[in-house]
Amino acid sequence: MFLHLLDNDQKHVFFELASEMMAADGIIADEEIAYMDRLVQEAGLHGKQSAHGSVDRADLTVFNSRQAKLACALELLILAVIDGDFHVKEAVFANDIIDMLGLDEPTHDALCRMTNDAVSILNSMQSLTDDAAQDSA
Amino acid sequence: MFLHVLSETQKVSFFDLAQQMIVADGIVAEAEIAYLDRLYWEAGLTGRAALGDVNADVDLAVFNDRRSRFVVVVELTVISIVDGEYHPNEAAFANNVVDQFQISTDDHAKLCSVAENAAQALVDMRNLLG
Repeated sequence: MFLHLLDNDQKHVFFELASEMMAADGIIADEEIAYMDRLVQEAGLHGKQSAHGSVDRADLTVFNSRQAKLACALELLILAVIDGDFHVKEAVFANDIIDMLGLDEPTHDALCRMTNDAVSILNSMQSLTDDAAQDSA
Repeated sequence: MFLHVLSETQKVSFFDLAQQMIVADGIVAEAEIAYLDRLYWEAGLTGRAALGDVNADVDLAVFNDRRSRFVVVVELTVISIVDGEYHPNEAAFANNVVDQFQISTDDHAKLCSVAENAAQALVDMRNLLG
């Protein structure tokens, strides 16, 4: 939803982090894959994205603006909860990244609220379009 | 926000509609342009998008499934309210598209709700950015 706020270097690092986030709880849910596919398309990286990164190697210094840090953190949080389950390992991973990005607690709280809102919007629209697709079939 | 659902042909027609929506109230707001820019970017049309004739009829027949119609209605509604104002001419434009798509009142209400929440999410993000 907010990848347009990132430049190309930031997008590539984001996808490394996103891959780690997806694998954090040991379960890669269909909803996570679908949202990841959508993000890859939104980023204009379809067919070009290799996502095999590690947070240990990811260079978070590319997120050198508040805008980029917020977009990265928010998309990671959305990815973590899109399957309806915020696993403790996903929470730990998200908290680590948010700390490393230097985002303060009030900002973290605001991001969590926005994450819930964003997931609610995505799910509502998914439900409507799924119903529409079934009606069309 | 949901343009990934549309085909390339549908995206082109959608942007013709979007431009018409933006000028519908006679005021082209900064927030509307920002959201349109974002949509061009999301659609992979940055730098390639030609401005259409805002008076030309748009062929709505390309939106030949309910899914794409729903996406068009939500995105047009977001454009119309993202500046914090829903002008009667914008509402009339949106309602005309909804009627031509034969979307029920119930579905229209649900789509408006999604659009309102999406527009609010964009405003929240903008506020957080400071």
